[in-house]
Formats: sequence, structure tokens, C-alpha cells
Amino acid sequence: MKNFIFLLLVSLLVNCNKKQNPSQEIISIQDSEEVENMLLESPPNPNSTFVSVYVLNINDTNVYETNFSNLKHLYELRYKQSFKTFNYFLYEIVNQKFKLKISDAKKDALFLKSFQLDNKIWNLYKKGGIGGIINNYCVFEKKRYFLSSKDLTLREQQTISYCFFINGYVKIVNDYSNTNSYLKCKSLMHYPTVGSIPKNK
Amino acid sequence: MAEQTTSTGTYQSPYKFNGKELDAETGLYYYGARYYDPKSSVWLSVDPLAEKNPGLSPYNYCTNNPINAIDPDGRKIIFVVYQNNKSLQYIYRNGNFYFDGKRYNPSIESVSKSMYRVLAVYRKIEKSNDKDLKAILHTLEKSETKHYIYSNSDGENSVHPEYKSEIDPKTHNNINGKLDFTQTQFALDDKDGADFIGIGETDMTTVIHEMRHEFDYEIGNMTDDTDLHNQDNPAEIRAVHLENKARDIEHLKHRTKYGGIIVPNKLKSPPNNKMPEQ
Repeated sequence: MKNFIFLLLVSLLVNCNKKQNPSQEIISIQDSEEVENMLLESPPNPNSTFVSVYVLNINDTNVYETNFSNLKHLYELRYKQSFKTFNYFLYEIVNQKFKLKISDAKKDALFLKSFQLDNKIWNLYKKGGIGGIINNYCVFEKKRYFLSSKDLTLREQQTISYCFFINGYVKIVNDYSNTNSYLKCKSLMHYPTVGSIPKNK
Repeated sequence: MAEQTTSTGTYQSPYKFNGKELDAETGLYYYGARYYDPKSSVWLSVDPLAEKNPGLSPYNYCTNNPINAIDPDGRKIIFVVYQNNKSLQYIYRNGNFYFDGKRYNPSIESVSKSMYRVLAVYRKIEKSNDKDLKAILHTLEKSETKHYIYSNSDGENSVHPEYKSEIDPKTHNNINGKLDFTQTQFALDDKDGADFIGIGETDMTTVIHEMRHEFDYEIGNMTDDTDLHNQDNPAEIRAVHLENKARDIEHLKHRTKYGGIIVPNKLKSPPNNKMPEQ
């Protein structure tokens, strides 16, 4: 019986940990290579700028919202020496294996919209995973999760967006109707601009 | 102009030669800036850019070669269509989109439903008596900055500005340099926002709302954008103010909300409401 209880506790801990740190990669190495090709396109592919991507700093004090185009600028400016290829840099930073120095992030604030996680939302996520966020703050319509509350602060909204991102969702901004929604995508390269998905997808 | 479709899905348009509207009373085609007489094949006024082509008559159209040449007036609103893994750029000028110098003819080509719908809005602006809407459209059309437009299938209606980065000599931080281009995504089928209950929303209201943001980026007037999607954001108040001009044209009730209710005086006279010189 004692063994059973011990195993149950271990299992609960592991599951809880999985909810915070999704075991799946946010971006695959193949997609990182696709991003590199996409950034060379002219006219610019909207996936390079409209897909919100979130990266972290070394102390985990801030989250930075950015996009593929800005990460390419960052790489060219500061990380070319540390990473031989852009796609490897992208793979490491988007999967949160590589984290930015705070001093560098301040210099490069142009490319990184900084925010701190909202404690209430983040604790809810840590306890209940993305399901906890969905149950408390979202409604499902038209294949997407919409924020149901209009009273969220910017920081709360940013934290919710970050939680969706690390679970494989892309943020959809409808500036006109003033709504944010989250679409589950096969990969970050599946952002829904009509016809712009790369060849091998 | 109301959008029409046939059972085969081909768009029908009252626009005739070169997609321009034929005025039944005068027999002239309206080109936004001037009128064209199809019988005599001449313009009834001088091309505003005539001084750039001193060797040609200012009454010419497309340097006398309407098939291959493009009218230089307006070339920086670009609708990007993705087909067979290729991106095709349709450039807007004077009420038409052109690809490789050839006019997109919505009555016989079904290239992109969204492009057709955006084009229909631009033509409504050209045909309207609203000087502000026309001036903003013409500013974007004649801009040195490229304004790309894309079709989105899942609800994204928004504008992204891309700046060239520069290093601040004092702080050595990266700062925004000159505007490089803007990108706008339209999901024109996504129409059921809570703000519009009882007042309606159309392609024109959507396109003009986002056009205000494009214009503000174009003239460097987005520094007061708070990034908050609410009724207090000056950038959004300006966009709703301009949207209401579209609502006047379409005989719709004015929008008064952007999330919450916008202070009426601010909506009537928005902060930093810069307009093109006319």
C-alpha cells in the first residue's frame, strides 16, 4: 500500500511538471530551417512577422515577445559568433534551451517586447496546465480559443498568450474587432495566411 | 458597389474598360483623378504626373501602351497572392490591381476573393465624396514605402510595421530607423465582433479601419499607440473615427466602442488626428 501511494505521488509530480514544461519541442529543427528560407522571401512572408514567438532571459525574470524576423536581426547583430547557423540559434532560443542575457535584452529592446508573467495566471497554469487557462478565460469558437474576459490587463493577456505558445498555439490578433484568439497549429509554420505555407508542409 | 457572384463563382462587375466605372450619362470612364473618353481615347484633364514624362502628351494613358505599360501614378499598395508556392504581387493604381503591368480583371479572373473585395472598397473610396478617405488612399498608393496586403483564413485583421534598425550613438541600443514596409492581413469573412452588435460591419469598415493604421505608420504617427486594445488608445480612436466615415458612405450606424465606449469628444476629434495635405 505504501509503495502504491509513493508511486501515485511520483506520478502526480511528473504529470504536474509536464504541464509546466511541455515535453514536445515548440519548433523542430526542420521548421527552423524552413524559417531561415522563409526570411529570404520577397515579398516578405507574413509568417516571419505576424507569428508571435516568446523567448526568455537567463534569470527567467522576463518573457520577451518577438517574431522570426526580429530573431534574425538579433542573430546577425549579436549571436553569430556563438551559433554557427541561424536555424540552430532559432531552434535553441525558441525551445527555451538558450536564454538571453538581461543586459543584451535591454540593448535589443527594439526586437523584444518585454513583460513579466502575471503570478495569478502563471500559478493557475502551473496547477492546471493549458486546460486550466482555457476553462477560466476562454471560449471555443471557429476552431480557436477566444479570450472571454474583456477586463484582463495587458500583462494578464501576455501571460495567457505565453501559456498558449508553449503548448503549440499561434496567437491571432483581430485588431478590427478587438479580439485575441489562439489557434492550435501543427507547427509554427502553419500560420494561416492564405497559401503561404511552405512547400513541404 | 455590391459584390456579386454568379453560380459559377465568377465575379460580375459593372466596371468596363480597365475596370473603371462607366458613367452612363456622360459615356466617360471615371479614374479617380480624372475622366477618360473611350470614343476619342483621350483624357479630359492633364495627368498630374505629366511633368515626369515631358516627351509625351499629358493626355496620354500609360505612355500610349495600355497593354504592357503601367500608369506610374501609384505603385506602393501591393496585394500578395500565394499560388502554387509562388508569391504574386498585384500593385494598386487608380482603382485597379496590376500584375506584371497587366490589369487584374475581376470580371474574368478569379485570382483572389480577398483581393477583389479590397479592390471593391478602394473603388468605393475613389467614387465617394470623402476627401479624407481619398487622400489617405492616394498617400499610401503613391508612397515610397511598400504597403503589403495579404489574405488570412483564420481571423487576423491587423497591421505590422517593419522598421530598419539603427544604433543610437549615445546608448548603443538598437532603435527604430526608417519605416521599411507595412504588412496588413485581412480576414474579411471573420465578422462577428461584440462591438458590432446592432451596427453591422462590412469589408469597407474593416479595410478603412486598418488603412488608418497603415497611414499612421506611413507618416510616423504611431508613437502614441499604447499597445492596449481598448477605448483609450489614441491610435484606435483615430481608426474608429475614420471607420465612421466608411459607415457614413455605407449608411451604417457609427461605431462608438473599441472594447469599451470611446469618450464622445475624443471620437469626434481624435488626438493627433493628422491628415494628408489636400
